[in-house]
Amino acid sequence: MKTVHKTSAGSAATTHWWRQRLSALILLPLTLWFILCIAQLPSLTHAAFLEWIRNLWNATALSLFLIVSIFHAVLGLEVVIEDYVHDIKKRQTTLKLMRFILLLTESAAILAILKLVFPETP
Amino acid sequence: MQRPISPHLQVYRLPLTAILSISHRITGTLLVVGLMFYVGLLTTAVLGADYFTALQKTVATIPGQTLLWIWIYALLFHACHGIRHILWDSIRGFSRDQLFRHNMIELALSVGLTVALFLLTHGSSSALSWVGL
Repeated sequence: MKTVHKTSAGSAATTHWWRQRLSALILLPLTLWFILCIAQLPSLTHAAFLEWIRNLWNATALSLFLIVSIFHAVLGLEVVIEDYVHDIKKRQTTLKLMRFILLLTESAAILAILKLVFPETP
Repeated sequence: MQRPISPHLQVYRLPLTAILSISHRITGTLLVVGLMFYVGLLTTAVLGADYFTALQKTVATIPGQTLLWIWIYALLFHACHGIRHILWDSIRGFSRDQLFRHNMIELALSVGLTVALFLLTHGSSSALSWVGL
């Protein structure tokens, strides 16, 4: 069964499918939590935000939410780009660009959270 | 060579199920834009209170709050339709009746959750103390 799975043409698609569904399931509870947090944005001061993110639970949940969200977003956008960008060369470029932008976003997010939680580090 | 391309959305009269399906893609893409804005806000929090407050104040405006709640609705819709996909993956929910019923459940649940969360976050703040804000 394992060899069949590995050599079958659908292997990459199956992996993609599993990754999308697993990340979706992880995101369900985190999403509700995140909405409760961002609903406070209109009245949120910088000081209150710092206090919030320096709570280890919040920092962990936020990191997890952002990492899994971006992972899920890459998978979803891959399908959208593959479906709507028909020129093969353009498609490859768009895919690379999309992955690069989201990698950049993820790096910025993690770096920012680390800097906020550990302000003494350079 | 011009070969026929898929999906040919323009040749179909879209039933509600199809409209919800394409909305899943549209909301998914829009959600990424909002997520990037949030990461931008995180970055300004590192730069200092002035930068953070400048960006946070744009969220506090009426258009800002409207966009925020449209984004929250898009997220809840995407989540509800995602649950539907998991149901479909288990080879359930394809009959005409089920499609109709689940369309309605999906829409009602996403609207209901948005309203509930709006009321919860705009009522007494004690209900929310557990998220620490």
